[in-house]
Amino acid sequence: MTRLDNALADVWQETSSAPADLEFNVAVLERIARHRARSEIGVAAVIALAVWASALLLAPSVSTVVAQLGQGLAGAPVLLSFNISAGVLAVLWLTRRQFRLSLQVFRSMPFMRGGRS
Amino acid sequence: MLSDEDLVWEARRGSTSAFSALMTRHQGAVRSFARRVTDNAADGDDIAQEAFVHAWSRLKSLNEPSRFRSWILGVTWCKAKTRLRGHARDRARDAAWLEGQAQSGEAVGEAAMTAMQLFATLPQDQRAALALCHGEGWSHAEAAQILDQTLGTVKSNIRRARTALSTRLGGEDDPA
Repeated sequence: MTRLDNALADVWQETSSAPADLEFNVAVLERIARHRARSEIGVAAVIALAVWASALLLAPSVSTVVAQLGQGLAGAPVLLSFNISAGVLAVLWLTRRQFRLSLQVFRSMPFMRGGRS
Repeated sequence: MLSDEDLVWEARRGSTSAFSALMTRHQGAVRSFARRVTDNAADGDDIAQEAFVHAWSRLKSLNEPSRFRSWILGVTWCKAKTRLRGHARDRARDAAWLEGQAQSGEAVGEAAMTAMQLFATLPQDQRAALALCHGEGWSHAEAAQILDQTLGTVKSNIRRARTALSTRLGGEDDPA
C-alpha cells in the first residue's frame, strides 16, 4: 500500500459512523414531527384568517339572524344560523389539533427545556 | 426482510416505522459520506439528519424506490453543498496556507498534519468523489449520478485529489 492509500484508509476509519444508531433515528423523527407541526400551524393560521375574513363579511347577516332568533322566528334564518354554528364548530374541531401541535412545538423550544437544544 | 422498495412504499403511505427502518439501514453510509465532505463529525451528522428530513417530505419524487441509497446520498450532497457555501471563506484560507507550505518546498508530513486535516483541505467536489468511489466503493458512473456531475468530471476530480494528496504527503506520484 502507498502512503496515500494508508492516509485515505485513516480518513475513512476516522469518519466512518456506526452502522445503526437509534438516537439518530429518534432525532430525525423528532425533526420530522416539528417540521410537520410547523406546516400544520401554517394551515391553522390560514384557516383562522379565512374565518376572520368571513366573519367580517358575514357580520351584518349574523347579527340579523341573531336578532331574528331573539324574536323567535322559525324557518330559513334558523337553518342559516344552524349552518353557521356547524361551520364554526368544524373550524374549532380542526384548529383544536393545530392548537395542540403548536403547544407541543412551543414546549420543545430550548428555553422551555431548561436551555437544552 | 423487506426490501428498500417495499419500505419506501410503506413510508410514502405515512409509516414512520418503515422510514425508521430505512434510516437504520442507510444511516451508516449517509453519515460517513456527510462527515467526509464536511469539516467535522457534528456538522456531518447534522447534514445527514437534514437529508433524511428532506427525504421524508420528498419521498414521492423518488422515481426508483429500489435506488433509495444513491438518492439519499444525492440529497445529502445537496445539503452539504449548501452548508459548505457558508464556510467557503474559512476553507479558502486553509487551502491558501497549505498551498504556501507546498510552494516553499516543504512536504507536509504525517507528523505535521494528520491525514484527516490534509483531506479536509481538498475542494469539496474532489472530497465527495473520492469519498464515494474510494471510501464507499461506488463506481465512477454511480458517483456521477449521485453528485449530478458528468463521468469525466468525477474521474478528473478523483485524479486531482489523489495527486494533490500524494504531493502533500511528500510521497511518490500516484499512478491511479
